[in-house]
Amino acid sequence: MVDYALTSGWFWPLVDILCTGVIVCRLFSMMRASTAIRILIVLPLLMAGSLLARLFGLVSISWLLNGFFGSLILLMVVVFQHDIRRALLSLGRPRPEAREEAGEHLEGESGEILDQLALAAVSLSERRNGALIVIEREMSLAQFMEVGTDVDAKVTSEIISSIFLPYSPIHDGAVIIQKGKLTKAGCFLPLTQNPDVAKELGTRHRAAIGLSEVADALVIVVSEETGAISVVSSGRITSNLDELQLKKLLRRSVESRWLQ
Amino acid sequence: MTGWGKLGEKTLLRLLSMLFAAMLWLFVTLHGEGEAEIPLVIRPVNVPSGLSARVEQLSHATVRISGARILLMRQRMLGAVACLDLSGGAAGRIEFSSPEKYVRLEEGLRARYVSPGRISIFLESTN
Repeated sequence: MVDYALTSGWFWPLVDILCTGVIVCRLFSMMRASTAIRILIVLPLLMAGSLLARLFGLVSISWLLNGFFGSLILLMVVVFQHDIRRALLSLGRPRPEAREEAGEHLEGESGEILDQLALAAVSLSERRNGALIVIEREMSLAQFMEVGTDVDAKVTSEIISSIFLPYSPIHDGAVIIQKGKLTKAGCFLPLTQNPDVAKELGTRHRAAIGLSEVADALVIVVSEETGAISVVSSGRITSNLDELQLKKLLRRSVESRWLQ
Repeated sequence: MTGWGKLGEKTLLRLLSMLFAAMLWLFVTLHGEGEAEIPLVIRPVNVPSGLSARVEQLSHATVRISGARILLMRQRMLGAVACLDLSGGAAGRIEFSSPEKYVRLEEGLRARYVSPGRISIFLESTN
């Protein structure tokens, strides 16, 4: 039976297809699901189109598609540079659940910073003051800090709350926390271009999602309209968090080395 | 997104990955080199006036061709023709050795050999 399987013409191609499928699935699962699904539908169709064009001697289509496949890798790197960068950064990093299972809980100064952030978010939420708080993780956020205002202060709920008071001159942008310090305020973040984002989400939420698509930062958003607290990471949004849930989520998602 | 939604998305991603892998395999395999033997039609051309051409073993001729498998499939659909130029010939038997060089193929394909290796054409007077 084993001999037959090994010598039959279909065994090794089947192994080849299965292995490629698993690799492709692993690679594409690091990207945004909707993007990955779109690529995985379009590429096989283009391959089938190229084969049919060659089979039936459609010279122009065949030339176009051959040119496309020739530069496919370069095209994918250019078009999906943010997804690829995020995917590569996530390689080897334990998942939040794994960190939680491993029992990594932030205590001491790092834990205090996260508690202050949670406290600020809850206080802003109660007063219906919109807020955008960014925590830098592995990737530098320097490119988004050029237009911000230098703050360089210890992270306390009072400072954050006062920055987002409606009459504060820097309440419109985002505050950025780097290495456990509040370094910038009034920063402008890139808006997401993802068409799948819910229509009811406003500019603040779109900015949070946009940043998390191009960087590995964690963003806390407080809605001005509803007061709802959300956390955005890797293009995914977790909404309607209470204080306890927010603290738990922050402890799961932020490592102490990013706060020191 | 709900748990079911995520599960459906993951399943769809797995299915599409396998479909992509199968398509990629087919794409690469069909663009890879292969060989095929297809029937060959012998077509005498430029027959001198007053003469007619008769080809021996017309139904048995085949040609072995090599190139990208997708082109082999196309050539199999189109068939292969060897055009033998008889201009300047006189009545009698004309023999073509290495007939593979007269086989017209799609660009990217090569004729390796023709069976039979020699093709005889009889030029007969029509008067």
